[in-house]
Amino acid sequence: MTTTERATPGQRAPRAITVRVNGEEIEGAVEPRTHLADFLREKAQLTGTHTSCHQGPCGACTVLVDGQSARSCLTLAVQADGAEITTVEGIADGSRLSLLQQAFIEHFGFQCGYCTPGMVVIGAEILAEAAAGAVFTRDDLRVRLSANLCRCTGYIGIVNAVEAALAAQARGESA
Amino acid sequence: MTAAEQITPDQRRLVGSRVPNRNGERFVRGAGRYTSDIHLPREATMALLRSPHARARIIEIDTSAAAALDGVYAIATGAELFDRIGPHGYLWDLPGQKVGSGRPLAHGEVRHVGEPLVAVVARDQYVAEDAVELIRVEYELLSPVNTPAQSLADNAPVLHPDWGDNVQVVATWPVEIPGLPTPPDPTQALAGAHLTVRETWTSSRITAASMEARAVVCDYAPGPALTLYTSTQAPHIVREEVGRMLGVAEHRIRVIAPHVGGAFGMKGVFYPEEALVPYFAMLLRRPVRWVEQRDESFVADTPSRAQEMDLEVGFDVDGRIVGLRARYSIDLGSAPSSCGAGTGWATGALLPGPYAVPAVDIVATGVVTDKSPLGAYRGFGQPEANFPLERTLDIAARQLGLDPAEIRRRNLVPAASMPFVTATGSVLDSGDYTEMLELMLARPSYQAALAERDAGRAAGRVLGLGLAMYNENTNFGPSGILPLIGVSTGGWDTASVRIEPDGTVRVVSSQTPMGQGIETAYAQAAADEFGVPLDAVTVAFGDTDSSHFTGYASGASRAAGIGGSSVLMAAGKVREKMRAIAAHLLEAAVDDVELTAGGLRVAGSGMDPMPLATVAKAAYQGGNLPEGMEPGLVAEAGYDPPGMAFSYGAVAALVEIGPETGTVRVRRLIFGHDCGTQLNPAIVEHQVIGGAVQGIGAALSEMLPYDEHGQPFARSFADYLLPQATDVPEIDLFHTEHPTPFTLNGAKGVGESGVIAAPSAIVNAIQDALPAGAAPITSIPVLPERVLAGLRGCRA
Repeated sequence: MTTTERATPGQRAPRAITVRVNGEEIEGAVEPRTHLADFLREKAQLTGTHTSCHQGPCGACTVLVDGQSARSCLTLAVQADGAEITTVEGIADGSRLSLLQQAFIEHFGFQCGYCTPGMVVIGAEILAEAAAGAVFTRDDLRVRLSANLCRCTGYIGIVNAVEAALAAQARGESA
Repeated sequence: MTAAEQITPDQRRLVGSRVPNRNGERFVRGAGRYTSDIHLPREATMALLRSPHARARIIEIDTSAAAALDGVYAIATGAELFDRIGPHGYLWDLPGQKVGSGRPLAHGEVRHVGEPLVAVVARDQYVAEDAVELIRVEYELLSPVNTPAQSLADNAPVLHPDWGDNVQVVATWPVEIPGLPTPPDPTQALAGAHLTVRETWTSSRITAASMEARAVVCDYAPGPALTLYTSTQAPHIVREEVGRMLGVAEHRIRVIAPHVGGAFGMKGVFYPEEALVPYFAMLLRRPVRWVEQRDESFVADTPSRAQEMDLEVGFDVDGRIVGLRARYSIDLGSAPSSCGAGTGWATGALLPGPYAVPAVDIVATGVVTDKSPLGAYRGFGQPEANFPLERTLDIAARQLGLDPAEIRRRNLVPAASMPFVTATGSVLDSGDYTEMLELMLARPSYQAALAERDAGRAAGRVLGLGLAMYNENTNFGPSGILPLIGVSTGGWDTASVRIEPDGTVRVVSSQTPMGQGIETAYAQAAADEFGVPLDAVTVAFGDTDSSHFTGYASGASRAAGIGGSSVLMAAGKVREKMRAIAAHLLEAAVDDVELTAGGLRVAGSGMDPMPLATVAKAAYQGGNLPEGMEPGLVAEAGYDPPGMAFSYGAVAALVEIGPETGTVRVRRLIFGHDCGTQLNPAIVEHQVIGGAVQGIGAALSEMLPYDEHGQPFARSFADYLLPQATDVPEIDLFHTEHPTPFTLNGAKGVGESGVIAAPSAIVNAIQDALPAGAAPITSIPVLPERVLAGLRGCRA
């Protein structure tokens, strides 16, 4: 959380919201200034969504809001009232990792693991678009993944992982 | 018995293979546990008021409005804490160095933007930040000291009045060692040189920018008993510092480094917040947390580099170096961190790099300025040495009419001269530098890069190819040497190995993983030592209650070689004990018993191996053991290397310049690398690539500039430009393997290799792309305006 304008007590009155997170309804009373990342991490207790910059550039906190990637640190929790959120914890199908998650492991798409949740979520969005007919070259993937920062890997393992997962998905493999 | 005598090659199947990182499933599921993920009942949150001024006297601090805010539990200023929290210590304690107050909060004066001066503890982050905003401070503004030149000028304000001047430390080479011949003086050699090249080189202040910012969470129990979770590379150093600063005995403090979200040396430094959080936990008798915000990180994390070097190198008519003189400053910021001027020391000690330099005259001066204190960052002084020398070689080659590869070939330390003592006193342990250069030149990708450059130029594009070589000081030790070079701790490392009652293996390491994959590499080693599958091994780490004391901890590329050797030693002790127990149970001679895949057996007997679990059961039951043997099956071992080990390599970069914009695109990066034995080639590969890409950032975009008022320009990732996925070329990486004789596994370190020479190769390539008469580029990062100036043929 970066320093925000202090609000008057009235503006700070908590509001009740209901958000579907990974298929489960989460209710909570939040101050209007509470951002979605804090709501997910603290109210829903899903700490997989990491925050790194709270300013937008890094993408570590990326989640899907109604299927579209969004910075959860730049989204207010009250904006997500009634929305369907997918976090990194919702990508796997129970005990089965997704193709993309398997590819991240196989291709060394992480080192410290901190940016990984955001990368996995944006990768899932890319795979969903590909499943709907979009085509991605390797350069397209670089452009798309440049939404998120990684300091450890130099990105090559990440690009390789998403590319491999796309190929596996195109071959009709399932997780 | 050495490990090699007992395990046959077919059993040694995991070390050397590309085993996936064992954290994979945790991390891709978001199930990592980083410090900020840890919440404790009744926890309070700390936030800090940081100085908005570079240099000012604190006249008055009014915390009354903040204290009155609902949900504020405690507030303290530097003056109030001065006698309650003592000064921090110094891992790097160079002879004659001066130090600041070492207190976590400023008192009297603030000396850099971002220096903490008031701590607030409140119900949560939101309230704590609200309270910080209500604190009123009256300052008397003072003129800041912005640069080393200003700091050293006559009549410069003295930052620390008791110092007398702004010089923190001076180090010189060569070093006179009693009993050894007086080292040669390069004065005559330089005077008689066929060619001397002299320039002033700048490596800008940059920062590690780990994706996980720092965080500290402290639990409290009466006693006191403190459990401190912190994102650090060095839990034992944190415990030692917290104990001394707060006056709490070390056995009452437990420090845990959970998953660490990137560190790169930056988290090897002790920080003020690591003392403040436990202080307030004890004061309030409740858990306290502090999570660094990104804008804070740009002023509160220790940056690195920040050197300016006047380098003069003399060459003979054949292009061989005859001598070297260097005068350089290290901009330490407002006061030395626990890392002191360590990086600056490393620059001087390692300035000759992989080249045979017969004589040196080096003076390094650490100075204080009104900026955030300098610390460690991947490369630790070596990129600052590599950039001036590798650029100088290219300039000399051009003036002598030599190919850049040829001038390097003529100066590399020959393989036959290893081990080689450099003019600065380092011992290069092993390797074949010339072979590395020749492999690079013969590499198809290198040939393709040359052809691409020439074809592109013919088509009117602006392309350049650059080459650089380096070596990397790794396996930092031994303990007998470290005090002589200003390091206050030991250079050994330790591990224990325990066979659990069910026959599985538990390794406890004192090294701290931070993404480099050591828990995977250690599991591979231990699995091989006992002939068990990888899944039968657990590696624990990062907890002072279980990890044994280590001095230097994780840093200085020590994990694979030194930490890895301690795992082998501990495993060897346990294997010996298992053989003795098995011999007793089998009624055989110990010498006839071997440990093989699946257990222990009498060699050549054809018997089914006795499972490890059977031996373990006997060891833990205790009633049927060889005469006099202690029950149990655990051993600890500490490995102190007899010498440091030098990894090395060659880097080539092909760059293309946008002639209208001055932007530089790295089109190809070719990287030849040798770190001795590779415990896990995939880990090595990704360490090198990750480092090289950090080198792209250092070469082209990363810097922490300050204005004339000492205000930092970079406070976010929108100002501080890390490489993005679109900035990274395809990388052709190749390896040779010359094991070091100074570790049990032959491994040298790999953590810092990638970052050392990549900037030099890229800048050499940019220079190659510019018109022949363009002034030399002498500063990194190379921003587009500098490139445009070069294209126009004038000096920026």
